[in-house]
This record gives sequence, structure tokens and C-alpha cells, in this order.
Amino acid sequence: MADGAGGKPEPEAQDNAALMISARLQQAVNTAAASIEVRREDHLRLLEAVVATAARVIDATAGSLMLVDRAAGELEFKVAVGPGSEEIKQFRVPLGQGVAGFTASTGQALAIADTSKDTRFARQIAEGSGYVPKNLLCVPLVLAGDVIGVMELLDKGGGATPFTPGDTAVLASFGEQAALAIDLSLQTQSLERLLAGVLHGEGDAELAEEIRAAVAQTEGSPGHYRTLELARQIAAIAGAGERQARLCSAILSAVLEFSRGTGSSEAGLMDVMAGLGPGFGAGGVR
Amino acid sequence: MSGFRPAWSSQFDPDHLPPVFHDPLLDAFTPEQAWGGSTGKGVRVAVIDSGIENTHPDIAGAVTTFCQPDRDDAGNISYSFEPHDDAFGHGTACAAIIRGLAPDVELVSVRVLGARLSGAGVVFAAGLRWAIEQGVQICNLSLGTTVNDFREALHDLADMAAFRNVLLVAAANNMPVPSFPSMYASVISVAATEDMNPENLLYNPTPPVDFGAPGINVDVAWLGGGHMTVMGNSFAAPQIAGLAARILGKHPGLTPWQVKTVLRAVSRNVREARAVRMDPGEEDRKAAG
Repeated sequence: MADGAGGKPEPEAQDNAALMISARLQQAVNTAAASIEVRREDHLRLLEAVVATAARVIDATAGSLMLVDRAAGELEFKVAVGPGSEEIKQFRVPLGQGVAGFTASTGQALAIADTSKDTRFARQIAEGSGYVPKNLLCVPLVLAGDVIGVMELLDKGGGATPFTPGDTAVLASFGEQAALAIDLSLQTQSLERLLAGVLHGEGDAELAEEIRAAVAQTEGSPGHYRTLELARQIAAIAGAGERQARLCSAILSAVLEFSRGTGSSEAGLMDVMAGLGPGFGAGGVR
Repeated sequence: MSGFRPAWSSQFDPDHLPPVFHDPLLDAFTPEQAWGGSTGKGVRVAVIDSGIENTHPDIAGAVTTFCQPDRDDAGNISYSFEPHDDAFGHGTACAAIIRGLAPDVELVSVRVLGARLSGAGVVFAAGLRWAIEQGVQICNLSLGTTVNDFREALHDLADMAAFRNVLLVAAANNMPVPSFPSMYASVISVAATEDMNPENLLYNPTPPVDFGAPGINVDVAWLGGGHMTVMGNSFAAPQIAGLAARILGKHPGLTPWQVKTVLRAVSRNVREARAVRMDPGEEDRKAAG
């Protein structure tokens, strides 16, 4: 660091350093935001696949997934498949109203076998999508003991057969998968919020200071990025399998010895590889 | 899906239900002794739900008291005692099931489900407390809260109800979610079974779910004087609340624990086990066809 002698840096230098840190953070946030955007699309596709598969397995015509927006006291459509799905996505359901609202606020699974018995009820749904189901089944999405949303299927067997307790159990297990996918998505989003918060000086001041300090330490150290790149490569190799991890570790030890001047020669590296057995020896690593 | 055992409502599958413990002391009551001739007259039942449509033909004006707790933005609870409607149909369904079994009960509608649910747990607890303080004999809770923050407050309320001789009947939750107060020992927790006859209730010797009652594709009262075919544990709880109202109509002053003992004794699986014990030859004759 510039003030290694103990003196304080000039105010101008301090401002410049702050600006650089800020710019770096901004860059990090932008990168994170872009990757989150891509992942968010992936997550929606994943959720859509879960709902579509559940509908296919249980033989329902349409299905949807809604998440609880506690602040607004509403349920928000995240995914909808089948007839009327595009229209219904624009609607929000007040918590505590309708089957979805009941399930979201009480955690109780609920099925309606014949909606046509109540014209008011049917009209209420139709106002949203233009599609009136004959029957429906709704289960809660549970994450760490909290109801975070609901999954709903419409019209089993085209509306001819009521949903069964077995369907409830099957839909609930699809719901578990959806909840896990949502959990991952929420974690990424909270990381984004954390970074944005740090950038704007909000939230945990101590944590913000720690992150700023960590970024500041890398200033003027291009080597830091090379180290990160190396770490990334090692992580990729280690993740590829046990044999790859062992090879990587052996090579690194040999390189370390070589660079310290204690190793014999480059031939030592070849010995290491030969010692790793078939597939890594004579043929080398391809 | 053959071979797949549903987790939801599986408790009362014949293959799943554990054998009941036999003791003549506990098995002495018959349904006739328990509720024969009783219409639930003199029993007040609170339905803590989405409200009750009092003009519904299946309710026929049986609601004598209305209460609707609300919470303002500052967190203060206020109560409205003006007659209200049903926000959804669910409360009317539960009330009509109770009245179908015990036509002379007096219904108290406590509306805690509705459009405004930002403080759902607080409103629910306030509604339950109010009902217990009114001295109703039975509270039907076909809902609960899953919010952990209310675990302790609702446990206190469950104790308060037990000490004041108020029976709480709650819908069990078969989802992997803690639901209060259905999990507490002093509360009768009910799940749905396929049998359509409420008098064929099943006793589960492995709590927290205590009893099984009709709740799978049952025809219930709904909004606008109509009906609906539905499935859910929330429709099983009022079947047991209705039977309990008949028991209390005939035997006023029984404690919640005593009502539970009577309900156990008249459960179908307990009656069948007793029949086999009293006539050991019956099982062989059944097996012989």
C-alpha cells in the first residue's frame, strides 16, 4: 500500500482510490446482475418444466406456480402453462382469497372437484384468464418450514375426473423440487442485493468496510487476477474427478519443488505423471 | 402409480393404521351412549375461518354471534361484531358440516381469513383468544398458521382453552410444514379419509394426527347458497367438531380430554377391534368368507 510508512495518503489520492474501488464494485455488480439475469431466465424455465411435468404426470390441462409477496399481501404468478396461461400471468391474487390464497395463508392443500356448482367462483377465476376450469388442486410450496407460494393444477383428465389424495402427494413432491429451485434463485438475488447495498453504502457498515478493504488490497496488483484465474482452473480440474484432482495436486507439488530449486528437473514432472498409472502415464494428459 | 404410497392422507390407509391398544376400561362406550338422540342443543361452536354465510339454506340463520378481528398498520387489534359474510366459501362449508351433524348448535362466526392478511398470524391468534374468552364449548380450526413466530402464543392459547374446558378441533397438515395449533397435544387434530360416513371416524394411535374423518371429494355448502365438491383436511375437522357437539349436547361439562376418550372409544377401528376381542371366533368366520 502507498501509505506503508504509516502516513496518511493525500486527500486527492484518497478520492481517486475511493473512485477506483467504487468503479470496481460497479463492474462487479454489473457482471453479477447480468449473470443473475441469465440465471433468472434459467430458473423460470426450470420452474416451468416442473409445473409442466407435474401437469403431464397427473394428466391436468393447465398449471401454475405463484409466489407470496408478503409486503403486498398478494400472490404473484411466476409460471403458468396451458390454456389461458399468458393472460393469467398478469394477475395477482390477494392473500386469503380463493383456493390459492387459502392454501398460501394456511398451508393446507385443497381441491375443488366441480367449480360449475358455484357460478360466482367460476366467474371470479374466468375474469382472470378467460379460462374456467372444471376442477382444480392446490398445494403449498414449503421452504424451511415457511409457505413461500403455491402450485395449482387445473382440469384433471380434461375436467372429467376429480383430483385424488395420490395426486396431492405427487404434486407436493413436485412442489418440493420447485421450492429448492426457488431457494437457489433467491440466494443469487440476495447476493446481488448485498453487492448493490455495499456499493451504495447501505446495510451492514462493518461488512461493507471489509469488502471495500478486500477490494482495495487488490489495487495495483495484476498478479491477484492471475492467481484467481489459476484458482479457478484448479477448482475446475478438482471438480472433474478424483483422478484429475490427484494429478493436479501431484503436478503442483512437483512445480512447487521445481520453482524452489529443490526439485530435480522437468523429468521429475514426467515421473509424477507416469506414477499416476494407466491413462495418465506414457500417453500423457490429453 | 401402483406401488406409490401417497404421503397425503396415508395415515388412515388400512395398511398404515397401527393396531389400537385394547382395554375394556377405555372401550366401554357405544355411539348410542355417546351421542344417541343429541342434536347438539345447548352447545356453542365457534368456526374460526373465512366467515359464515348465515342465509345459506344449510346454515339457516344458526349464527348468533359474529366477530371479525382486524389489525391496523400500527399493529393494534380491533374487533367488529357486525354481521359479516363469507369471503371465500370455506367457513360456510365447515359450519354446514357441523350443523349437518348437530343441527341445533349455536354457531359463532370468527372471520380471520379475508382480503387483508398482512397480519394474518396476529389476527388469527386474536380471533382464537376472543372465542375462548367467550366460553364457547368447541372451536373449529380448519386452518392454522405456519408462521413460527406464533408457535408460543398459540401454545399458550391451546393451554388456556384446555384449562377453560374449550375443545379445539384442528385440521392436520400433511405437508412438510409446521402448522399451529394442530400439533399441540391438547388439540384434536384431524385428517381426511375416503369413508363418507362421519360416524365411521378412525382413531390414530400414533399422534399428532388423532382422528380420520370424511374429507375426500365431499359435497359441502359454498357461497351464494350453493354447494361444491371438495377435498382437504380442512373439511375433516368439522366432522369431528360436529360429533363432539353431539357428545357435549348429551353430556354437558365433559372436558376436552374426556371428549377425546369417548371419540376414541366409538371410532370404527376401535369398535371393530373390540368386536373381535369380545367374539374371537368372528375373525375366523370373516376370513372364511
